[in-house]
Amino acid sequence: MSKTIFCIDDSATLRMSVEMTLKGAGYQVAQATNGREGLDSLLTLAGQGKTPDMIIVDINMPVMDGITFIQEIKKTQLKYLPILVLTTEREDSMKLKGKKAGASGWLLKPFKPDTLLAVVRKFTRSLA
Amino acid sequence: MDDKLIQIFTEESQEIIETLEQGLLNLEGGEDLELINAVFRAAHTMKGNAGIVGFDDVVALTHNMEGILHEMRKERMKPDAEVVGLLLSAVDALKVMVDSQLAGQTMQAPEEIMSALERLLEPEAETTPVKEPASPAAAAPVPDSPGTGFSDEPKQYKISMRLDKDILTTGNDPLLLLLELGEIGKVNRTICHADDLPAYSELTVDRLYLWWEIYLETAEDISVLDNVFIFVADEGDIKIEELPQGAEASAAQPEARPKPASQKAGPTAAPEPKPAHQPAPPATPQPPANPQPEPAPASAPAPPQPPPANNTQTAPVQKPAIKPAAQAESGQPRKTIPTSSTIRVDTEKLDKLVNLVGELVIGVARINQLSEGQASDELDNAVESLDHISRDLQEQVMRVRMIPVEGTFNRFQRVVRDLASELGKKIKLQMSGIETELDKNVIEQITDPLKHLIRNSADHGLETPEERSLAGKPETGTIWLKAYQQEGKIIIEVEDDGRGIDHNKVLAKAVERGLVEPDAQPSPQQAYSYMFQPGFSTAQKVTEVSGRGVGLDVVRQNIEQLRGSVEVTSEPGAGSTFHIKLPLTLAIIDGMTVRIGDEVLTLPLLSIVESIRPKVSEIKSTDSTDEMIEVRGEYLPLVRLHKLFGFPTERTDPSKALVVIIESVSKKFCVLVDDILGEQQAVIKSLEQNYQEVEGIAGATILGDGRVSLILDIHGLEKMAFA
Repeated sequence: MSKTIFCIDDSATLRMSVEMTLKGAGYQVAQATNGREGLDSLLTLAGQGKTPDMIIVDINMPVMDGITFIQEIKKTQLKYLPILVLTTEREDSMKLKGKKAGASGWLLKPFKPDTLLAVVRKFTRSLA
Repeated sequence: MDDKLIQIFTEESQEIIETLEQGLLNLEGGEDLELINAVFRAAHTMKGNAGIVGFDDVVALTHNMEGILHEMRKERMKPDAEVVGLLLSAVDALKVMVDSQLAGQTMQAPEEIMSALERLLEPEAETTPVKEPASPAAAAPVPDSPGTGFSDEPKQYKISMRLDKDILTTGNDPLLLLLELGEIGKVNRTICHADDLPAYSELTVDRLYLWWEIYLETAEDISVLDNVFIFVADEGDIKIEELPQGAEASAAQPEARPKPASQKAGPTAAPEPKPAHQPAPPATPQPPANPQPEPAPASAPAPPQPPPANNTQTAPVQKPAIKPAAQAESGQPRKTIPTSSTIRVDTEKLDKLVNLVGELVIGVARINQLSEGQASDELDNAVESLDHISRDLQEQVMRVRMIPVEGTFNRFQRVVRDLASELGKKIKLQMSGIETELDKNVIEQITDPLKHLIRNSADHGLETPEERSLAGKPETGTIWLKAYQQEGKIIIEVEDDGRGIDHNKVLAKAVERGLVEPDAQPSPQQAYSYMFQPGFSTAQKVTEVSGRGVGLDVVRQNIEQLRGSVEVTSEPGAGSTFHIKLPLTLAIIDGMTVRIGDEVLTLPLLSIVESIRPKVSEIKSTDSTDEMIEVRGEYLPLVRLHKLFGFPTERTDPSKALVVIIESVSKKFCVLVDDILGEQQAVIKSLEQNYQEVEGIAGATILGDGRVSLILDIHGLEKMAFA
């Protein structure tokens, strides 16, 4: 059974590049375009017993940003899901915010496919 | 580079560029923080995307744009006309750059735009702290006092960084950490320990065998250093200690206040100093840094070499988005750029879906016909409900292809802005009905005609500010762009409050051009319709704007190709309105089915004026190939469809058959058919895709009884018959 990664980013280009990277390695990829949509969609999926294995989320997004998303998801039954922040934000203060909110990792855009795969493998393995 | 990725990038870039353009136009003069945020995000996303596909010049340009928008976000810069103008020209450059990149040519951002953007950014960079405005040390310099934990005095830190051997497989890179440290302060010395390095034969590339000791001089608090290691704290042994000031000979502070070494960060956080490693000899060739610390932001040590993606422009903290509901309550008009949740579907897939559903509907109609003879109530009920469902399905599927006109309309804001400055007029564009939905194909093809009409209104319709003042009108002319649905059609109107059109002048011109007989007495409405004839132009002089040899006839032709129509009404002195009527979709046509021999043809209802059976006396022929029908004094050429397409039929005498009068862009003519069968909505199937293109035929449709009917293309037909 292949693992599913849930990718939240307002950039379709980014989502596509994540999808191509991960699908090539046998992962399923589900998507949302902002934190609010991601949150709703994740909860719906969870209700159908289709909880993904990991979340990849951007910081700068319309409607609901990544930090708020992490804070919100941590209030739900999905709080144990590993969350990788994939962003251009490299400020320490922002990383600290992410860490405090409950992010499990931080990767800068643009990413190297191998690096992303390595991180995803690490996070999904530890939960398997 | 992967084509699919590039395709997504291209599509998204177009959207982003539109968002940028639209946002910037709305931004001008105002100070809508939500909107600035939206525009900022667009630039930010563009930069990120360009990075993914490796368009570095686009990254560089958007980086600077982002920088300026960031300054606006921080309310350190106002979106005045100058800045917005500059950003708009940057957006233009962006379009060209993306296009040329896609064509395989690297193109740099125009130098003047780049330098103008940089000039705008520079003074800011000097007055604002280069790094981390959130840091208390930089934001509000606290005079050095013991115990505050904040100090603008450089401190010496020793960091030992021992990361887990498999850290490389977690996406962390020690080099990045080292670089980050370099941004915080001055690295006086870095020691790389290679004692764990195995024999070459045992070396594995994804394992880390090295560890480091870094001697860093910075005014930042130790917590700032801790933050660098946030995501590796659990995956290694990180020790950070503050060295007593005296430990570094370079720190010649008169008030050197030794502090106890604070330690932290690693899970093993052991405070003991490591005597095993030499305590940073000052033997480094570095000159002593900051002998006279100043309590100004400038003393926050600038990173020696900030990497390009990290300086003032990096957005520190994105404010959590205001909840849309809360904003709606505030009652102010929202200028926010809406983000709707969508998925991208190839239009080809949609076309197939539309086609299949069309066939389904026809299939159901056949079952319906067949069931009629069966005298079974149950069957009738089942068929009826099937019929109902399939029609609903068809409607929904059609709706999938529909998109709001908003995107297209919004583009015209820019067109009008540019036109106004080009023509030296004051013009305001007012839009309504932007949520009106149209078939995607129709929207794409209506853009150019609409642009032309808007240019036309701006150029010929609206007067100069002086003329308007004299006429007692407000100096600013208004162009209205309206869309709405009426009787199953979409209506788009381009209206202006300009000088209007004098129908007598139009008539005079039409006579002069030989488009109409000198003694004709047309109604004003008919006179206006001459404007759409080929070769007509009322422009006193050909201007740059609406000249270009493209007349209203082309507009009309484009619109009629969409099976729409256009007409104009005007009130001299008060303005004119161009009134465009469009079908909801191109996939369905209102047709009239006619019979010729055994063939059933479908004529587009929109082109049909009337149908008559001429009397023998009304059939005039100059010779055998050139026949005319006299219709109430008007002589119309007759096209024999049976001859044109080679369909055998017995009814070749017009007085025993029927002629359908058709009006196309340029002329009225008659076509000869055996009989008229009725009106019906036809789902168009393309011949090109299923067979090959055939002149005079727009496509085919399947009739209720399963037979195929060809749909006539009026333009093609005209060409065939009269060319």
